[in-house]
Amino acid sequence: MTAIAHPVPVLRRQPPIIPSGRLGMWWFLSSEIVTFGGVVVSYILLRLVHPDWLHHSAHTLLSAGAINTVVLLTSSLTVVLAHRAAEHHDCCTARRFLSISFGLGVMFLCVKAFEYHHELSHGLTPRTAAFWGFYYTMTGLHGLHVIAGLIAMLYLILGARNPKVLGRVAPVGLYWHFVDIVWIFLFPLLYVTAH
Amino acid sequence: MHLQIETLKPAEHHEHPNYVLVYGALLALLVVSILLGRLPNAYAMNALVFTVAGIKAILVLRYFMHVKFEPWLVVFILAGATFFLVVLFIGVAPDVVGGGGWIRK
Repeated sequence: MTAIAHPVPVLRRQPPIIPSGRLGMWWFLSSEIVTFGGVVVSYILLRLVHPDWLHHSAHTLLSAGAINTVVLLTSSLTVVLAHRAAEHHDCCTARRFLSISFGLGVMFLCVKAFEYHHELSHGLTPRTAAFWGFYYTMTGLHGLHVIAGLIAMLYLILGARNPKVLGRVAPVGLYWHFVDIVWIFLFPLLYVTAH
Repeated sequence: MHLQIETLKPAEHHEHPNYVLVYGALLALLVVSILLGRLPNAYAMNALVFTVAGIKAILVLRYFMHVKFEPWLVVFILAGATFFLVVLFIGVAPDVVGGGGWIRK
């Protein structure tokens, strides 16, 4: 008598509408909107009632702000190209683009450090005026986010050969683009409308 | 009886827009915003500069962050956070700008 092998029934669940890693990042970014937005809203409201802030804000370096905008926009381009390469499981190309993005992020911090040095050497500290308090808070908070993004990017570069790590390019990319969007608003707030 | 549960993988692939073209548009808008900053009328200058910043942010959101290809859930998440930001602005503005605040004297 032969034993009949019964196949194990398989229950197929519908896929989630969005991968959990990406969804988690979107929720995190929504909280970041409120974090940065709260500071920006406070700055806008106080600036409306303090026209004299224009005098202080004229001392920010427009050229350095513009260079940093170009640097961040370029890094966003290279991150999205790394994301596309990761989707095609091309770890070498993804790693190359991530390395360029990492370099651009470091360049952004170097330009920002030069700006800080220039402003502090002219006696423009957070205590000088409320404007400078906001300036250092907003750009400092943004700079900390850039550093966090660089750490995440370094993790991706070092582990790019691992398909699991390569799959995390998408959420890290979302975070980096968000950092870029924050700068897109900080640039006119602190540099363009001041000159 | 054994039951094997298998979760199907979501569709990850979508068409990729021309990223270099989007990047070029972002750089062009950056130049436009710097030039607009030279306008003598402060109200017009602020309105136009922040409109350009908004367009740049939408370009990054739609094409680099792929919101264009994401389900509506993502738009609701972002709109929810932005809504509370608007509430904060409207709630605080009368106290700061108007002087009188919300309390009727």
